[in-house]
Amino acid sequence: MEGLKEYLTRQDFVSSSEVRWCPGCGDYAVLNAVQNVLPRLGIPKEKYVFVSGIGCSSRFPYYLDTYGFHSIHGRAPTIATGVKVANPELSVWVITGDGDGLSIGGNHLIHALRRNLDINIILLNNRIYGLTKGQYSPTSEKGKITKTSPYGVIDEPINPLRIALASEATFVARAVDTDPKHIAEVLEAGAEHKGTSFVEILQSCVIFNKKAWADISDRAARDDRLLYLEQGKPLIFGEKRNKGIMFRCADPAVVTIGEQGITKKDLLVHDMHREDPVYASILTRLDYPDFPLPVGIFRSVKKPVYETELEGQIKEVTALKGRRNLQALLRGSEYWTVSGNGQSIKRSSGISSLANDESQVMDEQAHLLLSSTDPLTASLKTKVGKIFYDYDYKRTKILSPRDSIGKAIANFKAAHMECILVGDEKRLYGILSERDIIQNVVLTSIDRERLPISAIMRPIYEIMDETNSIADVINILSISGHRHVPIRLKDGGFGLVTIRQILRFIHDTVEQVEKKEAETK
Amino acid sequence: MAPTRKKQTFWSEPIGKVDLQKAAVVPSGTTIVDAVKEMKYNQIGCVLVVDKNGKLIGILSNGDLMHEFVGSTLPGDTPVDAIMTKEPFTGTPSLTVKEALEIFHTEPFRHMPILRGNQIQGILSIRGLMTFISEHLPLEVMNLPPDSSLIAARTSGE
Repeated sequence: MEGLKEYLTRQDFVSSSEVRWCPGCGDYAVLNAVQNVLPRLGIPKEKYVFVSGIGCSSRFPYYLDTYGFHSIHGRAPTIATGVKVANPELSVWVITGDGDGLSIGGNHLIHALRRNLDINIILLNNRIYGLTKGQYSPTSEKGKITKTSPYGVIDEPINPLRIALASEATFVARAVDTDPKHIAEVLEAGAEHKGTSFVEILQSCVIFNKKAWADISDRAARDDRLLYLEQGKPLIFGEKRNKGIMFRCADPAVVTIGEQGITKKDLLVHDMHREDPVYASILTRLDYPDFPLPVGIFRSVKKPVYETELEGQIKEVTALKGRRNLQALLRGSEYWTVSGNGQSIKRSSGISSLANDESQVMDEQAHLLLSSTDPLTASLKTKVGKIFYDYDYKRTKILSPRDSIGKAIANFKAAHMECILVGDEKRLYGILSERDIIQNVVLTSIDRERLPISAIMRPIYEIMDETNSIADVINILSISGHRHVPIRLKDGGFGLVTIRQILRFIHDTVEQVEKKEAETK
Repeated sequence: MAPTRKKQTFWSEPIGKVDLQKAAVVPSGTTIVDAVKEMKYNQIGCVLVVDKNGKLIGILSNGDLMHEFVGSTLPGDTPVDAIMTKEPFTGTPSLTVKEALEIFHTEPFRHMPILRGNQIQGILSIRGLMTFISEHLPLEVMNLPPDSSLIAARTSGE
């Protein structure tokens, strides 16, 4: 492979297609840099694949004499993933832009980055939709006037590098279109990185966003406004190379070497190999005019590569289970029969007969969860009807909503009830507790003999069935915040289950459990 | 999966771990109407009555009000002392859940003041106790579908 470096040249990667970008577009600089880097990598020409989405930059594959795929809007990372997984020998490159990569394909980009395939992603960021003639993009700065933001952008712009870091990208870098030599250095390092390399290239759109990065990318201002990150070297910038970045109370600050006794040794030293992404993340926060804008490699760490992991897994499972056949799986014995408008679903016997079958394992897990052997939790599956009858059911009383409050009071006093149901045999309208009576009778001067219960009752939260479990009732009591739940009785009418009844049941169960434990000991 | 969870021992946990309700407290001599207002304001079913030194001397519950005040000839400005339950049943933070269950099993009240020395820590209610128990059983009680007939016996339906 090394020998290839000798005979492949830039010219080998220039296609016969006429390059059709606007004169002055930064894409030219990036294309040139890419064409310069490819022959240096020692990879045979036929192993290169360039995949793009939609946008000006996505015309890249036409202009490179390699394999290429001008694909669907935002989906270049996805197609590249498929290409790389299917043939890991290929050198796969994704060309995308700020709209294609961060808006339409934002989700696809994130997942390609976190998987860490050994591919290279170049995102050209001109902060505008150029191809569609000047709509604001996810990286357009606030206040920017565009065709779709005539009064200024009000969206917070995305920082592509921070997206990459948050997606656990293992190689994160930035370059500027006005410095092609630096672009080539960064791209070469990215190509040699084992894992996904993500490189943001800042560029202008000469027609729709000419001054996208003018503040920092103009040659005259570059030395003072860009911070070139160099591995193992202090963060120094400025035309006179006398300014630097250091930490002050955990925040980065610009300092001048030689002032206030500051020397080069006080400055932050760049280390792109830090596992922790926090340092790289702090660098992404630096921005002109408060700071110089950092360019170069922010982060480069080693992590397992997706296609290698996948290949290993396939080998391992194939060794264990043999090679599976997709057609056989589709026509195999695993199927369900749905009949009677979905009333009955039957599965083929083939499924459970499979040895080590996943669904069987899951069923066993679910069974374990549902059939607790612990006596207390098992007891919570008791039907609530049982505690209704076993614990003081006589205290349930139903009054008509037309009955007077005075009648309700008489009932509370006579039977030591906590709560009264309001309704009839067929329907419940509400519920009335001691609290409702007290707060209305003591604090207001209502006529308790004439006003009906319906005036002060509260609505029913939920009516349960006798067949519901105690666990269901506790669940409803917890959610509703009530102390009582009405239940519909099998032989008609309604009953009331209270927290006190449930606690009594738990108390008795706990006693039984402890008694049994004592006996077995 | 079960062995790592202490399902069977929640009842030996101290009441101090339960989220107690903030107590509504009024001084001795407060009128019944004002005490009820205090209960309503604090959204709690009882009010504690304390003496000059802040020592708990009584408790007034909705039950007391229902049976001693509603329908009686007492005026609303009667001091709470007349109808409150004097020297109420109290617990300490070291009381276990099991003991609390025992108390609520045999005693008629729904609220128990929890004291550390003479200091009122809060109110243990039957609701608070039930919530505490259910929090120990997230699988069996807390995270249930609204209709238990929806619990599938097998993961793939059928």
